[in-house]
Amino acid sequence: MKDSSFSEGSQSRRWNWLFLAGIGLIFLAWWIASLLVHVPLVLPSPWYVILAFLDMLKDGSAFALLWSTFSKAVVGLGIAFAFGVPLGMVAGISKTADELLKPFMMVVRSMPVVSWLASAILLWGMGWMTPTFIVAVSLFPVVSFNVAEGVRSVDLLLVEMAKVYRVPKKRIIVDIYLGSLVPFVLSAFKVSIGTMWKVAIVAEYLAGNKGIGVELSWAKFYLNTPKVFAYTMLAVLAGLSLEKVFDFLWEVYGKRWRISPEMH
Amino acid sequence: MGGVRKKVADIAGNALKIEKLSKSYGTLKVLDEIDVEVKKGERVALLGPSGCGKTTILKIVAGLTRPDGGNILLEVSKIGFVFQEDRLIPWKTVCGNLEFVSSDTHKVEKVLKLVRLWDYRNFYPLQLSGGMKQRVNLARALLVEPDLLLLDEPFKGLDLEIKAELMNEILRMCRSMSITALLVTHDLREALIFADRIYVLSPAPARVKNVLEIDLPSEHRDFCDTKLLDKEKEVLSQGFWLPFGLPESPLRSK
Repeated sequence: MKDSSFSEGSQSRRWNWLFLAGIGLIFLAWWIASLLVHVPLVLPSPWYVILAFLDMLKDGSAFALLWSTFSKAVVGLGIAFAFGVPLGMVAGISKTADELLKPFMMVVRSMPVVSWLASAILLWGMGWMTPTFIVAVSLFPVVSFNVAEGVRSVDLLLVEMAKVYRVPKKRIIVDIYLGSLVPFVLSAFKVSIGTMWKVAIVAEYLAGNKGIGVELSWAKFYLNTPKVFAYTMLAVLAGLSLEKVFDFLWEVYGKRWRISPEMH
Repeated sequence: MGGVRKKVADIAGNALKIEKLSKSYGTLKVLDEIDVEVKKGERVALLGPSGCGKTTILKIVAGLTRPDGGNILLEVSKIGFVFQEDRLIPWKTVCGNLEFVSSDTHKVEKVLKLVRLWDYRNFYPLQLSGGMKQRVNLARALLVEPDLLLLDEPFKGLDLEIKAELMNEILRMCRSMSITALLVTHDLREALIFADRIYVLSPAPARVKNVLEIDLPSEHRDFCDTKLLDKEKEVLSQGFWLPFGLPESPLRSK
């Protein structure tokens, strides 16, 4: 037992070192590429970008920007779940509803973000509403699709068992149907938190009044490429951190749900 | 036409009576006029080849499937079902799985102690061995204090040691709680150890080919007991039960 935990620990440390080495490799490749290109306006050296990034941290603007983008992304995610979960459940339970909803879902899934943007700008103008709406419509199909799959994957043998023991319907729905859904909802959540940043920043870039996307757009306008890269770095770090936090919570609290192949 | 499943006040000392039970799935006939009687406190086995419709009989008795013809007369109301697959909710602990069926925590504690799994009450099914999962399956069935215990090949896929342990567990429970039990199996030795009476079924569509009365004392109902093995040889030597299509035996009782 001790041996196995020791080897697991050393294996984990090895992965951590490899991960850090991978980051180092990215910077090394970037630095070499910037030397080869030798046009800072196109590809600045990583050192300039790091300096710009540290400046953002020092004056506190990074945190305000992060909060602005994060709040829009989270509200958009909430809206996507609020509509996606019930709709996915209906589509999963009823084949008729699934067929009826299919064209609508296909339209939502395939519609380009800029088409939504055009309508949203006309409706709400430049501000926080438009990016929030864009995040919501982009994530909604992911959520509803996962939930519908979750409902379809309910183990009917468990339902049969519950019927033999005359378990009340309410308990069957809560303990079996909703229980089966959890890994699928969490899977949708994991995919969504990775996507919501990117979508929110693009929407801010095109139709926002505040946030990382807006600052990125201004930095590009003033040809301040190191700042463009610094904002990108900020967005990547924030997205990765959020995913890591989710993975940690999943590791600690998700033990019972880890039986599902979807979340392995 | 449709068959009838009903609870009756008295079936002449029987807990369950199956009369002329028929069932088809589409054009495939699986049960053909099956007659089975299970007296109160008796342990009965339905022995037949895989796919002959044994599980369908249990499902009809449990009210999960409707028969096409015949009668199911039940003198009992509380039914426990030990499923072939453990059918445990994977995201609930052992305790949670039992509390899903009954919220009476005292009863849950009692049955978990009975099947010697109290120390594992906070374990998830994934953390249990196959034999332990089947014991939880058994505990869940006992939790409803059944008048009739239905066992659908509960030993399938278990190795001999665990199988023997689980069999002893089930026999101990049935004896101590005077539970009427109906086991379906394709394994002659399991049926001999478990049952007071064995109904031998033919391949689908299942018919009762023979009925064997088993009078082995309880101390000989063990997988390696020589008396049991002799009994098994004796039954096999009759030549009627394997393969299931051979002529019927004179052992058949009325």
